Amino acid sequence: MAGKEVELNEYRSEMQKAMAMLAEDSRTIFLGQTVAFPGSRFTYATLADVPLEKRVELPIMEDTQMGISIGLALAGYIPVSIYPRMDFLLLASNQLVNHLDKFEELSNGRMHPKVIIRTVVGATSPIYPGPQHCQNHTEAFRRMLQNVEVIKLENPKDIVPAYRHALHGTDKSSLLIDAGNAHYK
Amino acid sequence: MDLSDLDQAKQKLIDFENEVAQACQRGEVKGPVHFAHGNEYQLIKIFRGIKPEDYVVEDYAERTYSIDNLRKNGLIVVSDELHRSSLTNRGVKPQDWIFASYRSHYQALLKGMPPELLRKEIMTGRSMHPLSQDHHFVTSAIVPGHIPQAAGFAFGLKRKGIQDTYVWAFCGDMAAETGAFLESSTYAARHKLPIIFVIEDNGVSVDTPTQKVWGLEGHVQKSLPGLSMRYWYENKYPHQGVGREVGF
Repeated sequence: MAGKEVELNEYRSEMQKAMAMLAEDSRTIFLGQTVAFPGSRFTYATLADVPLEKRVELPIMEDTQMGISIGLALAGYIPVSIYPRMDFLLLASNQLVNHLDKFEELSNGRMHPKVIIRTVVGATSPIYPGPQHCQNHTEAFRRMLQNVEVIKLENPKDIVPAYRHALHGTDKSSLLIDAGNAHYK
Repeated sequence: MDLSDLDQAKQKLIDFENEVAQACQRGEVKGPVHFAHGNEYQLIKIFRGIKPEDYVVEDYAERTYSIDNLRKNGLIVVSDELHRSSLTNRGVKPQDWIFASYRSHYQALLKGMPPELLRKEIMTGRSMHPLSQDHHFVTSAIVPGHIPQAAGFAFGLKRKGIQDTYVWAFCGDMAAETGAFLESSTYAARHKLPIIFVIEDNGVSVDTPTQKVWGLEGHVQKSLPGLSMRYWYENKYPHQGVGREVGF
């Protein structure tokens, strides 16, 4: 397992437990950037307990990634589609808002692709990452998404229950948002 | 639908479209409809399985034919990789999945969706979205929304080790120029995903001339990705509807 070199605070520790819990389900598959290769303190390190064979490192193609996630879901998987920053998730808005969110209506209730999306509002300390790496569009996505559940994870204690709900407690897709600053507390 | 008699199969498709067109004329269809009259022969051949006389390999086509000639002869241009595979004459099988655009009546019928079911979908305003788990049929009304989903489905098939099941991703000429298409088809080709792309080229996206705006006028589109094919046809109908303006 990789990523153990990073010291975990409670938030990260709970996130790591949540990812491990998701990985125990045979239907899940983790895909995105810095999933199988190091690069993001937010995502890669918290996947340390996810077997490498369940992780698929993708090229940068955010909207296509979301489309691939939908296709995988239609094929019977529960993709955990990871975007290291919420700024980057904007590029996947077509597949997220126009497709995944509308699939129930598009298919007249006949198809129910379920995707668990994980993204991060970038941390603003210890360094300010600039205006393209720490935007918080949580409320905008809440307004745009009628069928995808949007959950902002501020409290470490909420993390595992929120992901458990996303996996087992709902038929809907979920967008779960890390608080980047909490990774550094 | 029996595809052994091309003319008979073609007529069945046209009869269905004509019936829907008449309903549109009478204002009975409660949603936008995109017809494809003129796009019968090659589609039927693709679903049946294309024979050597139906296609040319892309490099050969580039050297030999103009698009007008290809269109006139009803020829399908196939990628070199598809040509070298054993898939050209395979056709679409019941276990396969279709991912298509908002103009998909023909594909639905050829995949085996009962005409009465498709007609019901169309009449209730769902012409663009006759998605069906039973018939393995997915569409999108956003260009090219279904293409990455098709690649993802194919990825799932490969990962599960499912054999002899393919995804067929149909799209128009403008869709084939988009970033999402290029990303999806490149990823699929390099990872050897079980997906065949079919570009149905009617030369326009709504009314925008695709080749002209992409600076490709006069040239056959080159470099078909992975397992893919392309053919040309002329649509009898406008982009949407039957010619009478309906706002939507």
